[in-house]
Amino acid sequence: MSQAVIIDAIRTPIARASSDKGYYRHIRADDLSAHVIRSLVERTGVDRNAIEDVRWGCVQQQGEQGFDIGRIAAMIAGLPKETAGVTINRNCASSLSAINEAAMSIAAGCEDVQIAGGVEHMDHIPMSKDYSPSPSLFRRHSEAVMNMGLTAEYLAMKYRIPRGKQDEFALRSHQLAAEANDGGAYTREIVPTWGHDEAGHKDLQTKDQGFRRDTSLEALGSLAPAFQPEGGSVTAGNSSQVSVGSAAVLLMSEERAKELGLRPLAKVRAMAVAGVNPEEMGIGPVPAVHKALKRSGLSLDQIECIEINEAFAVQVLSVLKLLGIDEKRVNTRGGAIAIGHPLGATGARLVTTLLHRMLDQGARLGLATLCVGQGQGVATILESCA
Amino acid sequence: MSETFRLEELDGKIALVTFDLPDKKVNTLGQSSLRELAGLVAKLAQRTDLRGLLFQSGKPGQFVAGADLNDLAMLAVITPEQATGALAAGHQIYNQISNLPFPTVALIDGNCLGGGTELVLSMDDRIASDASHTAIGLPETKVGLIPGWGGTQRLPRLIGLNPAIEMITSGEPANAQKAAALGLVFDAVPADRLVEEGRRRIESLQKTGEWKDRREQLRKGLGLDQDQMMFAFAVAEGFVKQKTKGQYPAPLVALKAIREGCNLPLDEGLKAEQKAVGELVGSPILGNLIAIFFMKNRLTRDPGVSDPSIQPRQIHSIGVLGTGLMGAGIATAHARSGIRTAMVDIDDDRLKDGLQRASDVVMSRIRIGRATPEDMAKMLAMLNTSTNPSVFADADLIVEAITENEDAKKEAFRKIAQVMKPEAILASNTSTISITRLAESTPHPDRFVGMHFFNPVDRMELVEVIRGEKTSDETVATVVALAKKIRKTPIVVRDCAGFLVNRVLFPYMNEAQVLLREGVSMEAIDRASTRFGMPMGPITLTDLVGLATTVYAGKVVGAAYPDRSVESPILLEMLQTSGGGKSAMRFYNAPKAKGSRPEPNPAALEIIQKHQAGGQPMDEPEITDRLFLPMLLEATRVLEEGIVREPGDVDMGLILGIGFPPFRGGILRWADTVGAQNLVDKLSKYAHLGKRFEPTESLRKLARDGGSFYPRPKQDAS
Repeated sequence: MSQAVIIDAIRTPIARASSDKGYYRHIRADDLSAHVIRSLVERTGVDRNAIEDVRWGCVQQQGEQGFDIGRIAAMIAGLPKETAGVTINRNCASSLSAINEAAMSIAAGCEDVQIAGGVEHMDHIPMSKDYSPSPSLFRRHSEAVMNMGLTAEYLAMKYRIPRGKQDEFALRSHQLAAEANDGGAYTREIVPTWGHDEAGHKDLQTKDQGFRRDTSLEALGSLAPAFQPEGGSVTAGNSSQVSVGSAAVLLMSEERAKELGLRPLAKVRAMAVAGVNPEEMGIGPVPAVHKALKRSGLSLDQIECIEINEAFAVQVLSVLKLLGIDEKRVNTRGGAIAIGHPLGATGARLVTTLLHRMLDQGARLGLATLCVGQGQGVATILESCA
Repeated sequence: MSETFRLEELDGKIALVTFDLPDKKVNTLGQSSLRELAGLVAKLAQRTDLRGLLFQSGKPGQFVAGADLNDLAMLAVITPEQATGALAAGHQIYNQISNLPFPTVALIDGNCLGGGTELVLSMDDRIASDASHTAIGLPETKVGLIPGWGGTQRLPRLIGLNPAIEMITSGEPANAQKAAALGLVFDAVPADRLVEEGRRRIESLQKTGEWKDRREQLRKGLGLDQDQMMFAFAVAEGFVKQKTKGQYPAPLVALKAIREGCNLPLDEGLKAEQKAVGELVGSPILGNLIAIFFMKNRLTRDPGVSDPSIQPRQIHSIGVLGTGLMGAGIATAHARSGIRTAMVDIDDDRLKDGLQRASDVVMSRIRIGRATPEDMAKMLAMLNTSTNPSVFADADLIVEAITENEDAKKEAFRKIAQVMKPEAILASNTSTISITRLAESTPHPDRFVGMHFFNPVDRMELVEVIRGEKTSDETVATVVALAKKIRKTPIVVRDCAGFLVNRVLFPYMNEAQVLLREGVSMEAIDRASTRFGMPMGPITLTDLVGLATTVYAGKVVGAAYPDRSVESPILLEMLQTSGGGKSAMRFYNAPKAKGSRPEPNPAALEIIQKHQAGGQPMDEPEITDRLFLPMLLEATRVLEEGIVREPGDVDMGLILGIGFPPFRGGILRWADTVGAQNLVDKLSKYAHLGKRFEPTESLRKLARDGGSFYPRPKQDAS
């Protein structure tokens, strides 16, 4: 079996999904995808003719995200006609699945050099646009499992995580994201991307848009519960933001990297997916991480850097509680509460941030994991090649 | 033995049972029909030779309307033990049906409600006619009950926990297409194919033996895990509590029955249901809700006049003068019901606005799926507009809905009289002006009547039909019939200032202003009112009605009842400061963000403060007394003066007209719950406030005699 390695990983600044203020209000999801693919090819210097497939995560595959945006973005990006393209949907973990599937393809001796990543334009194509669930789904599950906020409230009740703790975690996310953006920690992973600032000027954007430097526990504490008006604890402030963004990773086998003269950053050491009850979809990472650890023969305390998607503060705190993870190893450059959660792009965004964190910290092992709506978890363990 | 259930045998050993209650328009499941059904089922249980059974209704477009109404009424006054006994018969029969030695399929065309739905749930499968009149549901929680013949247990086992929770707690029925999507019926087919499809279904159930597996499956619990249960019920309870504000126990009791029974074997689940029913029977809230059901039923049958020989005239086309909010609403209501309608106003701009309002009504219904674009086309085809009143020439009835100005109205009647058919009826939508006086300016006072709609017309179902001194019985009966035809609930009221609803509402609004001056905050006043169950408090209602209208209507009604009205200097100064219309001052500012509480308007607070005369802090029960006791006294006067014919008219008028809380049954039924003597005692505490709190003669008499406004229900559960 061939070992999959990652050559490089980049992302766009993550923008707010706002039709009057978001950076990408005038930029399409397919063009944004192509921009990040093109940038990755240019920066790595990989021979574009060597790229066999593009695996692209995207949840709402309609409109400008329709008709296999993976293939379309590859064509817009100027990849050769021989490069194939596929679009992958595992809701919030779509692009982590794209990366994992690319690694599996390499291991299986199928397509080798691949770009995996994803995109989501949650302003142009809203999250639940045109979705209509089957009543049969609700024989066993409340219709409210489709409302992620209510599943988060359920975690707050079940794992007893009070509002105050959630707000503290949200504040931490904003502070760390601000520090990372302002202090240059993100410089290597963010590719400057054309977009409109809030005043309407078109410019190359280099920083994430959603984090708030000036937020405080008081400000967060004053927000009303967003999903459960009576007695709820989950607010817009301690939930992830709806966003627009794209991220991409270049993968290939160790051997191919040598042939092409490319220096890998990390190996894909282990991967896993797992299902849980949709009622508590947020704890999905727990069984997924256990599975990935078992497959890698590693234990959790060997993992120095951890990126967990912040769908909701309460959801991250529940996962940390169940896995027994100390907050210090987690999301040290902020997370989706501050930066945003462009669904189809987030998995690749986490891997991108994780890789550059590992590099900066000189860490050997890192873990990226996400919870998934309707009850799944996905986890990937990376091992540094440095 | 009467032929309530006809049994015939079709080719291939298929039994076809037709439910056809003799001499009734609809099938209901009363004690006698249940007994007959039991006899039939016992016989069928021996027929091992049959291949299957089809069950249909002999009433075209009506399947089974539910339990017998008299049995339903009884539930309000019996004990939990008696209820279990009363329900046992139904349970037994339904269990026997679910054990018949061959597959059973119900063929549903039309309404299938309550006990009817529970009957078909005890069968192996169901097929519905796809006609628009098919509606399958369990509406029990709407009248304060829960399904008691297995509905809370069989429905979740059939269609799954969450769709069942929604159907049962909302009480909303499903049409055939939705029922098919939910798996409540096997398929939705044209009515004339029901028997054929039923036979096919029996064959497929027989061929696969599936019916036996289904029975076994449905006898088990749902097998849900803890997260699925906890999450589903936490969400559902939260939703129900938000909707009912904790004032209606039935949906929560239904949830409890489902929660406690759904994971158990069916027979244990059915016991959980029976226990839950016991929590509701005999409660005052159930009594009130059932009473409303009957009062409403009575009004839908009430011809509006006592002389049975009076026949309403046919109304084929109407005219409406005025295209404002009320005029356009009235015109739309008629046009939507297929009555040719001519709408007249003084210029094209107003006609344009009126047409816009009319199409907005249907548009908003299309948006929520309650109407189709064809409905819009049909409505517009029925609606004609003109600036020339001569289009009223072929109208059978003309409704005036122009500004509340007596001279303007009289002038309008004179103009209309010149063009209308001599035999046409003339009606006014006035809310304040005497119908008897207005009648004087019309050529035929016997064919003049008040037809008072409530705002917004498309959503408020009450119409006060006001008879002036000379209004004829035929005119009243015709307008009553017309109001029903446009799906409103008419209540006949004799002419007096404020008519029924505004007259009884006035003392309450009046008292709210007095309380403000005594130093009670607007929030405290509104809170006392909404905690009592009103949809909004009197101060918020003032903002909604509008400052100018409130002051004007207050003047008219206040002048008619000077001994018990107090002019509000607060309202007068607010009106003087800001003027009426769009710029009018409000008590509350509009809420800053969606969902946040509206804040008191500082400008209004300033004016209130100016007119405040000290005062002690007041606790909520006292505020509630102060608001609702004057309302009650006015209601007793309305009865004393014969303004309406019975207590139910007052209560239904308030429930439909101002959203008086249904769980209290209306102001008079509430009074009966408190007791006349207790009310007189309460009133004596406020005697210093004068006439507004002086017990009326009829209330004193009830207190003396230990009487009540409504006859006490009989405790007869035999």
